[in-house]
Order: sequence, then C-alpha cells, then structure tokens
Amino acid sequence: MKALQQILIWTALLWVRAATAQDLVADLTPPAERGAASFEVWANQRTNAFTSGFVHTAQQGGFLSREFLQDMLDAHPVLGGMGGQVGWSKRFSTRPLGDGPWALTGAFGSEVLVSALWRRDLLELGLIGNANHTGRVDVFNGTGMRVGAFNRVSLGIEHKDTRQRVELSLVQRLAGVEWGIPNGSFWVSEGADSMEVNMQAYGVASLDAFPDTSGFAFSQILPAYGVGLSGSLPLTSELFPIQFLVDFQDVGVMWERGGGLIAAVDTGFATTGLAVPFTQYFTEGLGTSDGLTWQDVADGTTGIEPDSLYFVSDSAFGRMLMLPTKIQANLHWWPSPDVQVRATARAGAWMPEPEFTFGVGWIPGKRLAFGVDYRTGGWGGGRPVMWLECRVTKKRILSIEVDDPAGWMWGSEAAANTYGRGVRFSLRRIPGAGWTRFMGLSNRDLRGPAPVAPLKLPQSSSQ
Amino acid sequence: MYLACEIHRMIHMKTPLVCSALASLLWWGCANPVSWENDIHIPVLDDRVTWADVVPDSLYEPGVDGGPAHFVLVDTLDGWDWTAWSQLPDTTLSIRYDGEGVLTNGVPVQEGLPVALDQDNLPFVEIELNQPEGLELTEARLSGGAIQLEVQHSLQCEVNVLFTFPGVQINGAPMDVPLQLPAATDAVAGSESAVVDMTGAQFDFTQVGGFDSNALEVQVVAVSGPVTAPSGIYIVQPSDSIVMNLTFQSFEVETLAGYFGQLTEGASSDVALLDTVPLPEPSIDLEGTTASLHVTNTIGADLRLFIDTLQFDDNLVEGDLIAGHDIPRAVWVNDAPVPSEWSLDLGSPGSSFLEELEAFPRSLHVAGRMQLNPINTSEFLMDRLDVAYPPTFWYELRVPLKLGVNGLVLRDSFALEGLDDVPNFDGFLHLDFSNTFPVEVTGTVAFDRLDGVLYRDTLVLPAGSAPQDVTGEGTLSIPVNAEMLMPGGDVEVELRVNTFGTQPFTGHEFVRLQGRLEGTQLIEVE
Repeated sequence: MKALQQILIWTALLWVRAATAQDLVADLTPPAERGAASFEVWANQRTNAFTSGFVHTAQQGGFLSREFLQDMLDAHPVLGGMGGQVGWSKRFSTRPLGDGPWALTGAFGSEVLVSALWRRDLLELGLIGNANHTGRVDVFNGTGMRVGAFNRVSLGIEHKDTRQRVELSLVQRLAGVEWGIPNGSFWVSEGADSMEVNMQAYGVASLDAFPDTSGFAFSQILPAYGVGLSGSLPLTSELFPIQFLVDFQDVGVMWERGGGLIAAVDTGFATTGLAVPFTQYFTEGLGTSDGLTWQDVADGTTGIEPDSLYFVSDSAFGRMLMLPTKIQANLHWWPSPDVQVRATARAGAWMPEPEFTFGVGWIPGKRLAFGVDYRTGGWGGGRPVMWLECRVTKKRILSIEVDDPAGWMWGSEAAANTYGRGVRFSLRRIPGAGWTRFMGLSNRDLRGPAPVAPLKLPQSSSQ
Repeated sequence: MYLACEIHRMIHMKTPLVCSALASLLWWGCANPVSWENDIHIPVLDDRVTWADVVPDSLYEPGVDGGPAHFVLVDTLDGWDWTAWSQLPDTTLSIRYDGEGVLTNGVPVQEGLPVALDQDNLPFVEIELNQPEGLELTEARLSGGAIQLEVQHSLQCEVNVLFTFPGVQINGAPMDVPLQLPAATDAVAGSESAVVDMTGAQFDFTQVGGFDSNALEVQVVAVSGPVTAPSGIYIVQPSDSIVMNLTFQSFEVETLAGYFGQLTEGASSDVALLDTVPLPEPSIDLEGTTASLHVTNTIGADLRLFIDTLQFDDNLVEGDLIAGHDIPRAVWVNDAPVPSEWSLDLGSPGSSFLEELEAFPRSLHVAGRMQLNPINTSEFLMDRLDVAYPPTFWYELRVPLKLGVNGLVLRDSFALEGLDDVPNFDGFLHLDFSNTFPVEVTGTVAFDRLDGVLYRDTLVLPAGSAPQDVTGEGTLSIPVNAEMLMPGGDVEVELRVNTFGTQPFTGHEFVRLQGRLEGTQLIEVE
C-alpha cells in the first residue's frame, strides 16, 4: 500500500508539472485531448456439463428420474466444469504528458470469480450410484472449487500513437475459498465383495476463525494482496486493414498471509466388509478377531478417532499464489469498410481451457455496427455471441455483447439446450484528437464527407 | 436392528459428498427440495469361521495331505495337591536339662563361671512326625519358616545361655542362639525366648551319633550371672532344671532327602464332554483314536496309582485299567531329577473305554488313589524331593475328526425392535455363504412382524470338501426397507445340519459369510 501511495503522489506531481508546462507553452503545442476511456460491466456463467434445461428442472425441485439423470450423464464430459464471472471496470487515459507521446492511464474495478470442476465419475456416483458400474474405478482427481472476490487498481502509461500500454496492478483478494481433491478414488469389485476408497482433499478459506454461533463477521476475513503487470500491445498494419491486439491483465503473484482456515484429509481404506464375531458369542472370546468388527462399531471401540482422519487449523501458513491473470489476443480484419472479421483467443481467469471466438460483423453506418460470433472453450463448448456497437454521442460508443442469447430465456424451450449465458456492457469514449484510433466503428468520422471543391477548368483564348 | 442402523450410516457416508457436489452446482438457484435415487452395491460384512474360531489351537491338529484332523485333548489332572507335601506342620519339641541328669547338682554357681553340664550326655532333637508314616529325613532345605526358642530355668541366678545347632546352617553360617535368662525365684522360673528366621536353612539330620536320620544335635554353654539367692550362694539342686522348647513355625521345604514314608491320597474328577447340544443320530469313527494317562514323576519316590472308577455317564469302563499301576521314581542326578515317564493306554484292547466314547457320552467321572512309596524302602533313605520340579499327572486324547451328525437342529430367536427413523433405502442385504465343511446346512429365517406379516426365507448350503477344493455356496437375501424395519417383530433362526454319515474333517474347513448391500437409496436435498 505504501508503494501505491508513493506512485500516486509522484504521478500527481508529474501531472501538475506537466500541466504547468503545458500552460506555459500552450500556444506552441498542438492541442491534445484525453485518451480512451471506458466503463464496463459483465456477468457470465457457463458450464460444459449441465444444460439450462437440466438445471432449470433441478431448480424446480421434486424427484429427478433415473432417465433424466442418465441423459445428462451420457452427455457429460469426463471432466465437468462450471465458472462464473461478475465484475465491473473503469478505465481512463489522460492527455499526453508534456510534449511527449505518453499519457497516464489506469483502471480500477472489482470481479468475483467462481470456478468448479468435477469428475463425471463423482457425479455418476452421487446421482445414480455405483450399481451399474461395479468393478470400475471411479476417479475423483481434479475435482475442486474456487471462489474469489477481487478488487484491483492499475496505473501506467499509454502511447498516444502506438496505443501501447503498460500498467502496474495492485490486486486485493477480498475473500477467497478453495477446496479440492487432488487424489481420490472409489472402487467396488464386480461382485460387490470388496471396496477400496482413497481420498486426499483439502480446503482453505480466508477467514481467521471458524464462524461461531454468533454468525459470520466481516472482521474475520483475511484479505490478500498481490502485484502484477497489465498492458496492451496493438499492432496495426499500415498496408492492410488488419489489426492485432494483445491485452494482458494482472500477470503477477499474490501473497496470502497466514492465519487462515485450512482443512485436509488424507486417508483411505480397503475392506471386504466388517466381520461379525459370531464365534465369540459362543466361545467366550476364543476366536478374537484382529480386524475391525461390527461389534467394535457397536461398542464404540474401533480405536478410530474422527479427529485423526482429518486436519483442521485456523493457523494456516501464508503462501504465494498466482493472480487470476487474463490474457487476450484479438485479430481484426476489415475486408471492406462495412465488414469486420475478428478472431479472439482468451485465457486465464481460472478458465480450464482457452476460449476462442470467431465472427463477422457489419458496419452499416457511422453509428452502428453489429455482428455474430461463434465462441468455444473457456467453461463450455460452442455457442453463439451477438454484439452491437452504437455510437451514442460523438465520442462515446455503447457496446453490448450477449453470450449465448438463448441462455437468457431461462425456463423456456429455447434455452433448454444452452449451457450458460453472459452479457457485457461497455461505454467507451474514443480517444480525442492527437490519438491514434483503432479501425472499425470508432474510426468512422461523423462529420460526413468533405464538400467537393468546384472543378477549375483551364481558360483558353481564340484570338 | 443395530446392523440396519449401521448400514444406514454407511449408505449416508457418500451422501454428504454427493450432496455437497450437487449443492455446489445448483447453489445459485435450487430453492425447492430435490430428490433422486441412488443405486448402491457395497460390501458390508465379511467373516470367516474356521476350526480355530470354535476350537482352541491346542485342541486340534489339522490333517496332513488331506487326512483327517485330530481332536487333541491334553490336560493335567489336579486331583492331588503336590504342593501340600512341601509344607511341614508346626511342631514343638522340648529338651530338658535336669538336675538329676545332665545338669550337675550339688555344685555352687558362681558369677562368671559356667554352669556345670554333662557335655557327654547332652540330649538331642529327634524329629517325630505323624504323617507320612515312617518319615525319615536325612537332609532338608527350607525356603521359609522360623524356629522359636523358649528357655526356662529354676536357678536363682542369671544365666547366659548359648545354644548351638551343628546340624543347621543358615545361608552357610552355623545356627547360634544366645539368650540372657533372668534369675528364677521360688515362685517364678527365669525365662526368655527368641525367634530365628530359617529362610535358607540347611538341615543335616545325620550328625548325631547312632542316628542316620531325624536327629539334630544341640550344644549348650551356660554361664552364671549374678546370684540372687538371699544367702548370696546358690547350689544346684536335683530339682533344678533348664528346659528348652523348640517350635517349628510355617516350615516350607525346598528340598527333602531321606525316606518319605507311606501315604495314600484319593481324588476324583468330573469332566463335561458334550454340554448342551443334543446330538441326534451322532456317529463317530474312532479308528485311530488314542487315549492315554501319563505321569511325569519328578519325585525321587515310587508311586502307585489306583484307578478305582472310570465312568462315562452311567456306564462304567471295564477292563484292565481298573487296577494299581506302579509309577517308578525319578532318578536324582546332580541335585536335579531326571523324570520318570509313565503312561497308560486307555484304549487298550482290554478296556471298554473307546466303546463307551463312541456313544457320545456327556460326562466322564474318574476316581482313584495315589500311594506314596508302595514298597517300603526306608532302609535306603534314597527318596528325594525338590519342590521346583513338581510331578505332573496328565492325560492325552487324540481322536481323528470323522464325525457324523444327522439332523442336528440349532434354534435361536430374538426380538427385533422397530425403527422409528427408517432410512430411505429399499434393497436387500445379500448374505453369501461359502462352505467347505462336509456338512449340508439348511437354514430358515422367520420374521414374524408385529404388523401381522410373516416373512420366511430358507437357505440351503450344500456340503463342500476341503480336500477336493469344493465349495458349497448359498445366498440368503434379507429385505432391508421401511416395510421390514419399521414394525419390528420376532426373528427365529433355525439351522439343520446333516453330514449324511460319518465324514472326515481335515481341520482346514471354513465357512465364509459375505454380506453385500444392494438397493436404492433415496437422497433428498432440502
């Protein structure tokens, strides 16, 4: 925090000095306006395992039939996942500092990330049991869940011509919960005469004490802080209408301080069933059994203390974690002034696999553009994306992107086969004069074509 | 009932995992209770009953190369208490030094001078015990006990007496007992007493001339102290005497030597053979059976065993067993016995022992007597005893397990309480039996529910064969659901056992019981 304060103070001083210098040479320097700015709000949820129809039906409650569950499991991938993101962000860029091309830029915002992964075996075991696949090893490895609420602020510089940008990010994880099963399995022999279970699991939470009977208190939360780099690297062809943009956010690490909650389980057992010491009842303890018996369970003399099966502490060691980094690469191509083709690859943000987007857009006029994309990866499979950009003022563009539009029709037949939904609103201010603008709608000039000057014909004489 | 509860718990072991997984998936909007069915197959029971579970290892020997196992019964008979022989009764011996005998009279006593005693005719201690008759001891070593000496005299002077026992050493030192006797008066004798711990004492009863046993020499030196007679002078009178009483207290013998005399003690014992199970049409093939009595005699003395009565239930065993049997003595080498082994074949052709055993008697009654030194060998004084080596009287019975039981019925019944909180489970507890005993078992389970419904199921478990690696298998399926568990009732189990004649058992047979729970659990998430 202290470093951040110093950065802010120095930045303010530099800005004051630049403004003073600009005042002094105002007449000598060309006017430069503020750079791009934006305000974004987004929310999305996606899974690769549950259709909206399945979730809606389960949400209604009642009895879930075997056929209903089996249909879902038949289409379920080996590793199921679900993720969600909700957040907002505000970005700004100042006028270039002094005579130079660099301007101060920054952003701040918040986001909640949810990530859950599970093995189909685990789901099948829980929903329909093991009766139909005895003899098979059910593997739980990789199952887990993460939830985190992040606040971030970044500050850096942006070049008005190349639009290259680099920022230092300070990230606060306000709260986080995580649990997982790195190693787990369940096996029952084909004849159901032996069973083997292994379980390695852990759970951590950024709380310094277990919520007691008085309930949860915000003072129990242990925030974590991290530092990362953010930036943008646009590459625009001067010969072709192609633009390539790499954008990265929060590439860095986070320090989770000690004192949080941690729980761990590392146990396993193999059994063919517990014995019942029948003979002891008749021979007065003659046939004493070395193993665990049902009688031991009944008498409470198993010698197994529940506390010994797991580890729980509210004094976890501190650890270093990766920030929820986001990396995105965009490729735009305008084969004609009215048509836009784009391809986007996005990774990070706890997504289990990269997300790819391909699409085409139409720019029918100076104020409107819209298109349809095909997006796949991330938390789910392929789905359509519709987007619309509308220049609401001379300098401001309102964008709306709807991920899997049918998914929003919750409960309807149309949404039954969707796997999620998402939306992103953004209000962007295009950079002012003196800044390089990207191609596309934001580069259209609203002033209209310049008036054509009357053609001056050469004069001649007949004498 | 308890099993049902545990099964219920086991079913629910997975439930939290399942519920948490599904709840995390549906956390955002599942507002209504949801339920589904979960089909589970899990093992819950595995038990194996072998011979070792019902018969102690010491009671049977597994068969070799497919041969029959042997029921082996080896045990001691505790009819005779050998330890009683090591304890000598408390005895008091009295020695009198008389003024008309050893105590020389007419001699004045003077302070500082010995009281005149005839050293050549001092009396000695002679051991005389009533039991055993004819006991003659030459040596003895004690592990515990004490001697109390009590001395009285009539001399009117103080007397300092030193008793010395040359035949006794205590832990290697001679036994000396000094006593300071007060002077006697006309009315009261001067007396004093002392107790000597005899632990570790070694007695030699052969040092008195003319005696080769049962005698202890006692040497006495008496010195006069101050004379208390009114005249100042005291002359020993013929009526004066010095009397010493020796009392042996709680003598415990460690070793004895000599001749132990003749003693006869009787004993009897009853052994329960088959307790409560009535065996219909039992049969046993006793070919190869051996039954014998043994005595490991560690006493250096002859014994004679009289078997007076040998009786199975109401039937007396007849034959040449019922007689006196001489048991030779142990040989003593380097202060340790080399035991004499004696055995008697109970299954000899001249006895009806095995014939009576074939009838599956319920009890055996044995009565007899043991005689010590049946032949008088007192002149040799060669009997020896070391209590560290007690003799053992034991028997051995080896019966090849070739048995037959036709129609043995075992019944048991118990009440089953109803469950208030029945798990949402509907299925079966399958009990799989694997049997290698050459016995066919027919089992019937009847559950008379309190709601009036009678549930009955039958299990037929075929006979197996351990030598031929044949397993008889059967399954009993018990419904586990609310309908069965909620009302409660009475359960009656009946087992019919049939061997179809005499069958050899190898000792490797087993019955394995495996229980698996198969059914559908209804999981509900609120």
